[in-house]
Amino acid sequence: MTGDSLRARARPAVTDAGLNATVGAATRHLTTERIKAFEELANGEELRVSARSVRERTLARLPELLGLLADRVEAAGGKVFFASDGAEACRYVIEVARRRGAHLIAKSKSMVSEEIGLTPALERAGLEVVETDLGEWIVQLAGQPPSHVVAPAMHLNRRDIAGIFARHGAEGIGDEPTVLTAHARRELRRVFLSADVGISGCNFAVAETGTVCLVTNEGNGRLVTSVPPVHLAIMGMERVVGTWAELDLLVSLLARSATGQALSAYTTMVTGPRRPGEVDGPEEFHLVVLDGGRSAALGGAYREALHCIRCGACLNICPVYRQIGGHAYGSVYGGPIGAVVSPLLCGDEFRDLRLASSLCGACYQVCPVMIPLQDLLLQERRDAAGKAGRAERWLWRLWARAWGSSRVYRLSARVARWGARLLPGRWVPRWGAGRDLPHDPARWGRREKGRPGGA
Amino acid sequence: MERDRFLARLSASLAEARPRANRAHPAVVCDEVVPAVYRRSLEDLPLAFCEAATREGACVRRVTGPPGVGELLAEVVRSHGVRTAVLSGDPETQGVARELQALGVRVLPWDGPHAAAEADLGVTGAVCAIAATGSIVVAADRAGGRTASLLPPVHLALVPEQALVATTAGLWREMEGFFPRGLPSQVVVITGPSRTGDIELILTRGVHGPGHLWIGILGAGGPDRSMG
Repeated sequence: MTGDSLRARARPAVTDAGLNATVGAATRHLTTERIKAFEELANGEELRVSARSVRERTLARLPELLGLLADRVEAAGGKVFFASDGAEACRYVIEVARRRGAHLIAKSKSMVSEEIGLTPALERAGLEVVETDLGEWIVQLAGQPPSHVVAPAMHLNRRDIAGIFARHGAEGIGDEPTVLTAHARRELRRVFLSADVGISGCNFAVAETGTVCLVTNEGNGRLVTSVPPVHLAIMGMERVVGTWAELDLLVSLLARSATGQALSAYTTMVTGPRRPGEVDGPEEFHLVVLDGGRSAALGGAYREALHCIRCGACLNICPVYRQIGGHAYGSVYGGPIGAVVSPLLCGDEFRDLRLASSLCGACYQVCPVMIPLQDLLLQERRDAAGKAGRAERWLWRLWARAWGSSRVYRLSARVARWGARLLPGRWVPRWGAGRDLPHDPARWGRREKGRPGGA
Repeated sequence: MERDRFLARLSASLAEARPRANRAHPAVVCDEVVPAVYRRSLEDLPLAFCEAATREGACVRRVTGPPGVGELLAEVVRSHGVRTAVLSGDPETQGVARELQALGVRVLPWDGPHAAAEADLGVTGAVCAIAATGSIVVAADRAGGRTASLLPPVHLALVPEQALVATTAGLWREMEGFFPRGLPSQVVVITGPSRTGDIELILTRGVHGPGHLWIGILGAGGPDRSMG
C-alpha cells in the first residue's frame, strides 16, 4: 500500500503520544480480559496444544476438506467459487451483484476482503458498499484502512470519531460512545433493510456439513446474512475445519483470545440459502474460497502462519504493536502475525516487517494455536541474511570465529571498553541511537567466581 | 478458477512441502480434540446458566407454568414500554400472543424482516441453552426465523429447562442430535445482548441487534399448552 519503509512509517507513530495512549490502553485492556477468560478453564493450555494439532492436521488434508466443503455447500443449495487470486474473487462478486441488478451492498467485517481490496473493486464497478461493523464503518468514513484485525478503529478515540461523524452529517451529537453508537445503529439499519447483497467473511467453515461460521458481537454479521436477498461469504481457504468438534475447540479459543469472552455475542452458522418453509433469509448463497498466495505458503517454510485464526491476541501483547499501532505496518495484517503473513499473502514489499519485532516471544505465549511466531520471524531474518553481500557475510564469519576464542573475546572487550564512549552514537548512528554498551564490556556473558549465572 | 485445478495446485504444493521441524518449539501431537473444562461446577445447570447469562448482560427469570410466563411478559412490557411485538411460532411461545394482547401489546402479523423491524419486542423459543456460557440457541427453521430475535430492540427467549446443556460441547459435538433432519439454513448461538467495544473499547449495548435480552427458563414440564 505504501512505497516507503517500515522505519519511515513507524517514525511518526512512535512519537504520536495520543496514538500511543489510545492503542496502549486498548491492547492492555484486551490482554487482561484474555487472561481472565482463560482463568475460568481448568485446561486452557491443553486446549492450545490440541488446537495446534488440529490446525496441522487440517492443513495436511486441505484439498480433501475443501472438496468436501464445496460438495456440502452445493448440496445445501449454495454456490461455491474457487478464486486463485484476489482479482478473480473480486470479478466473481461483481458478476453476482450485476446479475442481481444490485446497487447497494452491506458488508460485515472480513479481513480477506481487505486483503484483496474488495470494497474499492466493487466501488470501481459502480456499486455502493457500506461497511456495517461499527469500527469498520468509522474507518471507512474516515477513508482509512483498519488498524487491528479485531478492533479496526482501535487507533481512534471518541473525539476523533465524533469528528468523523460530524464531517458526515452528524454534527453536534457530542462524543458519548452510547450516542455515537446509537447514531450508527440508525444510519446502518436503513442500509441493512435496503441492501441488495450482503457480504460477510468466514471465521471457520465446517466441511462435514458445508457450514460457514461467523463470530461477531454487534449483530451486523447476522443482519448481512439474513436480510438482503443474496448472501455472499468470502474465506481464505485455510479457514476450513473438518468437524463440529474441531469448531467447538477453535471457537472457544477464538472468542477468549480475541476479546476475553467465553463466546462472542453471536456465533452464526450458515448452511446454504433459505429453505422452503423458512420465513426469512436470502434466496442465494455464495461461498468464495480464496487462494491468494496460500497454496504457495502451504509448501513453504512459513506454513504454520496459515494456522492463524485471526484473534489478534499477538497484536495486543506485542511491545512493537503497542508502540506503533497497526497502520505503521502498512499492511492490512499488522502485529507479529502480520509481519509473517503479509509477505506471503500481500506481496514482497512487506518483507521488512520481520524487523518490527523484539523477538521476545510473547506472541507465541498467547497464540491460541501456538504458532511459534518468533521462530518464523527469525527464519525470515535468516533468509534475508542469506541474501546479504559477500563482504558482509565474510565480516560476520570473521567476527564469529574471533569471539569463539576466549582470549580474543577478552581482548576485544577491553578495546570495546575504550571505544564504548565513542562507538554507538557516532559510528553506527542508527543502531547505536537506541543502545548503550554496558559500562564494563569485559564482563559480557562471562561466568565469574561467586556470581552464579555470571554478570 | 476451476475447482479441480484449484485443488490440484494445493495437492502439488503439499506434496512438495518439506516441513522443517521446529526444534525450539516443537509441536506436540494430540489426536484428541479436547473440550473445554471449567473450574467452577456446572452441576446445577439452571443455576449455572442464570449466573453466566446474567454476567453476559441478559435478564434471566426462572418461571413455572402459564402464570409465570404471564408475569415475565408483563415485566418485559413494563420495563421497555413495549407497544408492538413479533412472535415466532415455536412451541414455547404458544399462548404468548393472547397474553401480550391482554397487556395491550399489538402483535404484528409475520411478513418477514420488515414486520420484525417495526416491532418493539421479539419473542422466540430456543433449541437449547448452554449453562457455562449463558447462551441460547435459535434456529431459522422454526417460525420466527432469523429476524424475530434480531431486529427488535428487545428479545425475549423462552427456553424449557430440559433444553439446557453444560458446555458448548453439548451443542457443537451433538449437532446431529439437535438437528436429526439436517441443519437449518441458519443457527445462532446468542450470548448476551448485541454489543460493541469499537469506541475506546467501552462496552456499548444494542449496536445492531437487540440491546436487551430477556431469557425465561421454563420450569420442568414447560409451558402449559392449554394456555394457547
